[in-house]
Amino acid sequence: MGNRKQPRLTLASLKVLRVFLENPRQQLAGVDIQKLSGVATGTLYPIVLRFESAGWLDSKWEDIDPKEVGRPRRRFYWLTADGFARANEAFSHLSSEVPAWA
Amino acid sequence: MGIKNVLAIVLLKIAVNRTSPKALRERLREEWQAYLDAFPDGLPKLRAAAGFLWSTFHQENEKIRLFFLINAEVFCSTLLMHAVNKIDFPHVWSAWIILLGIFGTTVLYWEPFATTQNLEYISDEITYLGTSRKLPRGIICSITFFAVLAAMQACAYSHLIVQGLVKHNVHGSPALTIVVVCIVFACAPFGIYVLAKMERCQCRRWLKKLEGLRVSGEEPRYAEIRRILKLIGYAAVCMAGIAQLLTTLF
Repeated sequence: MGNRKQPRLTLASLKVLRVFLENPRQQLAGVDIQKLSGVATGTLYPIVLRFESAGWLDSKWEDIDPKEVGRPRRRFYWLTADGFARANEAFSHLSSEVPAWA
Repeated sequence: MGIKNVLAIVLLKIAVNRTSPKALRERLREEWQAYLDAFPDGLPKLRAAAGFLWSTFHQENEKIRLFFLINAEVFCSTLLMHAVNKIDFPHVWSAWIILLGIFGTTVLYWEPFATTQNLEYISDEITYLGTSRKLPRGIICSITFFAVLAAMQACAYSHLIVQGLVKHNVHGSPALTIVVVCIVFACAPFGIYVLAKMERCQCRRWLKKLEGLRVSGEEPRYAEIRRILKLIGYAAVCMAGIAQLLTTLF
């Protein structure tokens, strides 16, 4: 875990993180994250994949048989314990630096 | 199915194929398809698909691609300038040597900052070169280009030789001179072919080693890729130095 590169926190990535912090128990598909965060598709996936490779997010396939349902499986993402702690830390740091963000 | 939906599918395919590491492609193909299905047909779907393509430009390996693109651009422009007689061959040669030196130093400079995604990209390239039976399309194109250029120049030089012999009323066969001219001009495409073959052989060896290290985990594999990058960097710098020395001497 210590060797993992920590993701850059841009405004778009903070928007994505906030979605997860506001829905900590929910597993969200890419389209849900996009709708809730308002981040464009082109920006969303590089952020999600960066967070995942850094260990902040975890993911799994939707538990369905694509042939039976007739549509491809969605991939669900959720915050890991480490991700939750780091995201909270990032937001509390940001709130102390930029009070308007709080 | 409307044209916008077809275009969306095409964009999705291009985006998936541009993604690296390759291991991620299968996953993203299905995931992005499911994402697209959540949008209504037409423009929204097309916009989302264009977004996927855009997202591939955010990938870290784009920097490597850009670097290669700039190198290729300098290489081609110097060659073009030589073709239209704007610069002579020794200057073109020097420009290529400098390019090789810059390539080597950039690889050495970049290696410590390379992320795991970058290393996976390098690993993919080694796997592709090491396992493919055919030469890469880019190499085939450059061999064809140089072969055509060489044939045209060899014909032009041979014509000049024959014309010179006729003009000066020299008896004897110009065949040997023409053969020498043809051999000289065939050096470039043949050299590229040999280098590409050597590169493939080397990649096969590296691939074997990397596959062997896969059982030991990711870290030793990444360390080996970093070692390969260093080797490429030092080799390029040394070759550039030697070539520059030879150019200066002769």
